[in-house]
Amino acid sequence: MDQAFYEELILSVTRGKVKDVDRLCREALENGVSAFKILDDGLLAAMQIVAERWKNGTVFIPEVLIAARALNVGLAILEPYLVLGNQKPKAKVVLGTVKDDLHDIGKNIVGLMLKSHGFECIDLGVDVAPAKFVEAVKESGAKVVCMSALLTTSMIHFTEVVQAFKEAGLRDSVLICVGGAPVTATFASQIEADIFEPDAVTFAEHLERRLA
Amino acid sequence: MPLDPSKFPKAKKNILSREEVKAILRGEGKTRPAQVITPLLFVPEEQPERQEFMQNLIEEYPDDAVFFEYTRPANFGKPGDRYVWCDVEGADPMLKLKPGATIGIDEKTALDWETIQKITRDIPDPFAPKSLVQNFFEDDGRYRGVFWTRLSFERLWHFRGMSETLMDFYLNPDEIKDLLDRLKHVLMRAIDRASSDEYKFDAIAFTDDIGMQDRPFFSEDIFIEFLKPHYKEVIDYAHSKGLDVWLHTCGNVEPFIPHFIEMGLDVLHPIQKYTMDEKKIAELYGDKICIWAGMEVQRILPFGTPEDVRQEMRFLMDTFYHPGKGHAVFSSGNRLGKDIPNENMRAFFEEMYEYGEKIAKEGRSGQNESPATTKDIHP
Repeated sequence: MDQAFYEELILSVTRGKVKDVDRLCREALENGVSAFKILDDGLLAAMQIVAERWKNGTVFIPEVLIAARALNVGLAILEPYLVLGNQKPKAKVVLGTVKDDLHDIGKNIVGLMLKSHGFECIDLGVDVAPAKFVEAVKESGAKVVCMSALLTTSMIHFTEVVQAFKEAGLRDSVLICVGGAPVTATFASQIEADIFEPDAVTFAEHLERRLA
Repeated sequence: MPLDPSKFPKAKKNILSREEVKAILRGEGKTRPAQVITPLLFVPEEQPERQEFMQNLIEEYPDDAVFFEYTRPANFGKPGDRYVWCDVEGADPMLKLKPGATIGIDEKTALDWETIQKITRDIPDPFAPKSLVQNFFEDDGRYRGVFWTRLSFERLWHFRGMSETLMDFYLNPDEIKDLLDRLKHVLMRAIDRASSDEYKFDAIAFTDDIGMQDRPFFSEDIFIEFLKPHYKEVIDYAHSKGLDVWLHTCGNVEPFIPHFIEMGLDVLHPIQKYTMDEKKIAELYGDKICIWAGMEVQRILPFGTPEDVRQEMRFLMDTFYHPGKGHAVFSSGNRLGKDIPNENMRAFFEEMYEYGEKIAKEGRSGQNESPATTKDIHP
């Protein structure tokens, strides 16, 4: 497929045109294009553009969500071919909003962006107790834990989660990442989190660099 | 109804009259800044251990403008119910939740469009409940209003969930506009009742969180296409009924402020710290709209010292209040949470009054900076 094809695919993703993404991905596969090439040069390239536009303030959450939705349509079509090619997720990530907090839009955006970057996400939902984070890591073998809080009264539970991992003897086996509106770098450092990320949309890139 | 100070026997402050508060809103205020809405931002049921402390504090420092929380319609009911948001049988997503699963607050009332189309069009009816507001008391001479949460965007995501609503602007624009039209009629009925002889309120206050930490939830284009016309109709209708319109919105809403002014919004809250530059906003817009400035509740009020709290209050008043004009009123920026120490709570109320008196008599010192400029206040 020529460059024009990839430009059309990228545009379709960035504009959230799921039917076009579906059609273009199938068309490319039928023409013998590698699923990895469609993924890298089409779908992921599109999300890279969205992430750049997010960083320079020209797109907002709606544009990120519709692009991620279109990306997921493409991923679903490519997935069988990626599996056959032994494409493994970059890492498994357990994520959740901590205990006493029910807000989840930030967590959901993190999950979408992680998936779009090839991570496998185990979403524990909201109001998640410390023990549940530990249990999820034990069950899944995840190497990354992401915690979110929107309330100052609930972000104190980050400390309890870190402590729970220490008591389980797993603290050195996981990267603990924290985010949410009231969270600061100083607070994250105090609680011994490994990664603090104020931006849900660009967190996946941050994690990729950290794991590289 | 003239103000009767004898109704506030424990007050350590004078109380501003209705006319004095209105003058502040219009930019003609000659008094200290007004304290507004503050008791509503403390939820006694969430902090039973300090109800008595807060009750005493509020009696010592009563609001100059008092707002009554609206009687909340139930989220879900059954066909024939008149004061619910959804009367479709079995629509509540919580009924379908699997054991052990959780739904985020942003999604827990989310419905599909098919269900929404089945909802009776003119509900909830604000004339249905016995009282439009909670804990009502008769006019005591103070400026007063109804506090009706969730104006437009918040109500949209109440119906559709946060993620779906944000995508609906692109994927289902006509449905969103139709839902906003329904909501507009509900709000107009609320305004009808609030302005009627039953209450004769001075204002209606709404919440509509449309900002995030570093930018609005959506673009200015989306705001202009969907929300601005809706807001404008509601504001115009309220004004036609003699009500001022107050709006709380969390987060960075800087691109929308000129639109709020253009629409005739009377009062805007809170110019949230760490999301916008307060001095810049004050300079650009402070003489065009009344700012309802909020003491910061994410870091300074819960985790600062009492002196940090006082310093921040002085900074806010120096920034937003114009002696001889007013154009600013004060409260906290959001709920008064349980992580705020009592001594900080007292410092907040005391300084709001004491520095307010000082600034009205002596003018702004121009020398009070926010403690956040010199120290990182955190848990």
